[in-house]
Amino acid sequence: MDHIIAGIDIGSATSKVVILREGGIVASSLIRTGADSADTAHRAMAMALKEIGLGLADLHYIVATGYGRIIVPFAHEIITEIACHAKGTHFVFPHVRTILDMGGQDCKAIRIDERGLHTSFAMNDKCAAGTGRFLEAMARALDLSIQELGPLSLQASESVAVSSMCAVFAKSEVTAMARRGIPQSTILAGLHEAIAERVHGLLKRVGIEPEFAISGGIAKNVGVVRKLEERLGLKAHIAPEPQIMGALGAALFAAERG
Amino acid sequence: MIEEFEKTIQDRHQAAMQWKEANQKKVFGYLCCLTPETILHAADVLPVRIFGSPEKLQVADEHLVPYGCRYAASCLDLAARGVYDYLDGVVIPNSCDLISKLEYWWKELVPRKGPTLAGVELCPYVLYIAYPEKRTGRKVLDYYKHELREFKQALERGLRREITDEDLSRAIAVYNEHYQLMGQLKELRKRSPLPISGSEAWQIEYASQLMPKEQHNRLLKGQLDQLSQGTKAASGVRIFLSASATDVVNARLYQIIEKAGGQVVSEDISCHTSYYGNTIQTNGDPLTAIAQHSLEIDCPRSTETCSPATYPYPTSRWDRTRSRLEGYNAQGAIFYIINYCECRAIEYPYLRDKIREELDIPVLLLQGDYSLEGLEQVRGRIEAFVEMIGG
Repeated sequence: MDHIIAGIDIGSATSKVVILREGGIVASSLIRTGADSADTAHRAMAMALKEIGLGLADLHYIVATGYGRIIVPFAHEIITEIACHAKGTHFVFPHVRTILDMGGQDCKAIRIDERGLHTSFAMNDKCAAGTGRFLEAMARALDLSIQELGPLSLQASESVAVSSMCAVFAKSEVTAMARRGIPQSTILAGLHEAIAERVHGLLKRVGIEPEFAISGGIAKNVGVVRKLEERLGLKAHIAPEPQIMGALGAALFAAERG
Repeated sequence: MIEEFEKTIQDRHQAAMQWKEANQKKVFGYLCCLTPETILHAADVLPVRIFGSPEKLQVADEHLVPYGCRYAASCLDLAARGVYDYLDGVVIPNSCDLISKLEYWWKELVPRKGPTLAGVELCPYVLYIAYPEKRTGRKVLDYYKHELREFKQALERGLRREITDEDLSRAIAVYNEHYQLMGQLKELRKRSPLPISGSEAWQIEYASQLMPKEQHNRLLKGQLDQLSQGTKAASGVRIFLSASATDVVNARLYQIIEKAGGQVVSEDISCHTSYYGNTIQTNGDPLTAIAQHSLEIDCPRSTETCSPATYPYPTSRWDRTRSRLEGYNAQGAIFYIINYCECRAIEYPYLRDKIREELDIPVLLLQGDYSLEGLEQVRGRIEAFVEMIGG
C-alpha cells in the first residue's frame, strides 16, 4: 500500500488541503472557510480525496495547520502555520531565506534556515492592513472582484496617496476618491503602494535576505507584488499556487512523522 | 500547589476581609513594587497589592483616556465599583505616568473625608510616594530617606501610633526571611529537570503579595522542603518571561506557554517581587536601610545616572536581565508588553539586541491589551516560538 499523507490548512478566509503520495503532490483543494471550521475541514478534505478516488481511511497521517487547526477533527497532529509555511516554501524554493505570507487575516514575515526551519518571525498586530480581508473590503468599495485588483492597478500611470491603512477608514477614503473621479487604477496603485510600505516594515523586523518568497492569497495580486518588488529591489519567488504553501508544509511534516 | 496559596488567589478580597475581622487590624492596598511594604508591616498593617481583573471597565473609562494602560484603568475601575472598599488606606507611588496620576482619580472616585488642619489632610486615605526617577546619584539616598520619613509620619498620624525603630527592625526581619526564601525558590528553578512549573512559581509569588508575610514564609518553607527533594518535574523549553502587569489576567501567559510546550524558568515581570535582589541591611538606621534597599529595585520604570563608562545606556537593567537568563539556562526570551506601557516599550529594543548579540538567545515580542481575548490572539505566536526553539 502506498504511503499517502495529507496536510490541511484551515485559514481565516480559505481552507486548503494537499495530499502527498510517495513524496509527490497527487491532489489538492482550496475552498472558502465557512462558519463551521470542522465542517469546512471535512469538505476541503473530501474534495481533495475525490480527485484521486480515495477516502479518509486511506490517509496514513494528517497534520493540520492554520488559524482553525485545533478544530480539525481528523488530524493526528497540529503544527503552527509559521512552521508549515516555512516548510512548504523551502520545499518549492530551497534557497529562499525570507518569506512573506500574506493571508486572509494576517501577514507574517518569516526567516528560515537552510533546513527550512523558522529562525525568526513577525506578524501584524490586530490590524487588517496588508491582508486579504483588507483588499476584499477595498474591492467591494470599488465594485470590483478581488481578481481584478492586481491587473487593473498595473494600468495606472501614477498613484494616489492613501493616508489610512485602517480597513474602515481606508474604505471611506477610497469611496471618496472614486466620487472625485480619480481612476480606479490610480486608487488601486496607491492602495498597493501603502500595503507594500506596511509589509516592508514587517519584513525589516526579521531581516530581508535577497532570496525572498511570497505566499498566501495576496501573492496572486500582481499589483501588490510589483510594488513590493520595486520597494525592496528584489524579485520575489512565487509558487504556481502560493495559497497552498501552508498545507504543503503540513503534508511534508506528516510525511516525516506519519 | 499549597491549598492556602490557591485559596487566597481565588478570593483575595474575602481573605483580606477575614484577616481584618479576625485580627482587628488595618489593611492597606498598594500599587507597584516601589511601595515600602516594611513600613506598613511595622505599623501592624497588612499590605495587599492592588491588582486588576479580566472584567470589562464599567466606571473608569468615563474618566481615563482610551490610550492609556488598561491594567491601571482596571485597578481604578474595581476601586470605583467598591471592590476595594475594605481597604483602610491606599499607597500610590509615582511608578509610571498613569499610576502616579491614579492618586487624583482614586480620591475622586473613592472619596473619603478625613480631618484637616489648615487645608492639610491629617489622616490621608491615599498616600503618595515620590520615588526618584534616577535611582542613583549623590543626593538620591538623602532625598528618598526624607520622602520615606514623611510617609512614615503620615502613617503615624493616620493610625495614631508611633512606628519605632524596633517596629521597623522587626518588619525587616520578616521581609528578609521572605527575600531569602524567594531566593531559594529561584535557585531551585535553575535546576534541570525543573522541580516546579512556571505557573506554580507564579502562584507562590502572587500569593506573597496578598497574604501576611509570616504566613507566606511558613507555607513557603514547607513547599521548598518538598521541592528540594525533587519528587516531581516540569518539562518544556526553558523560557525567560518579561511582561507588563502580570496579575491574574496576564498570568494566563504561563498556561499558554506551558500548553505550547514551554516552561517559564525566570522572569522580569511587573506585579512581582523579583526586583528585590538582596536583603535589607540590619545594621544601622532601619529607615535608611529600607530606603537603600528600595533604591536597588531594578524596575524598568526607573533609570540611573550614567557614567562615561556606561554611556549612553545605564547598565543595571541589562546586567540584571542577563543574570535572569544565564543562570537559568533559558533557551528563549518572551517580552509581553501591554499597550501604552512605555516603561517596558522604551527599553525593549536595547534588551532585545543585547540578548541576541551577547547570549544568542531568540527573542519574541508580543503586544497585548490586558485582556484574556488579547492573550488568545498571541497563542499561535507562542506556539511557533516554542516550536522554533524545540526544533
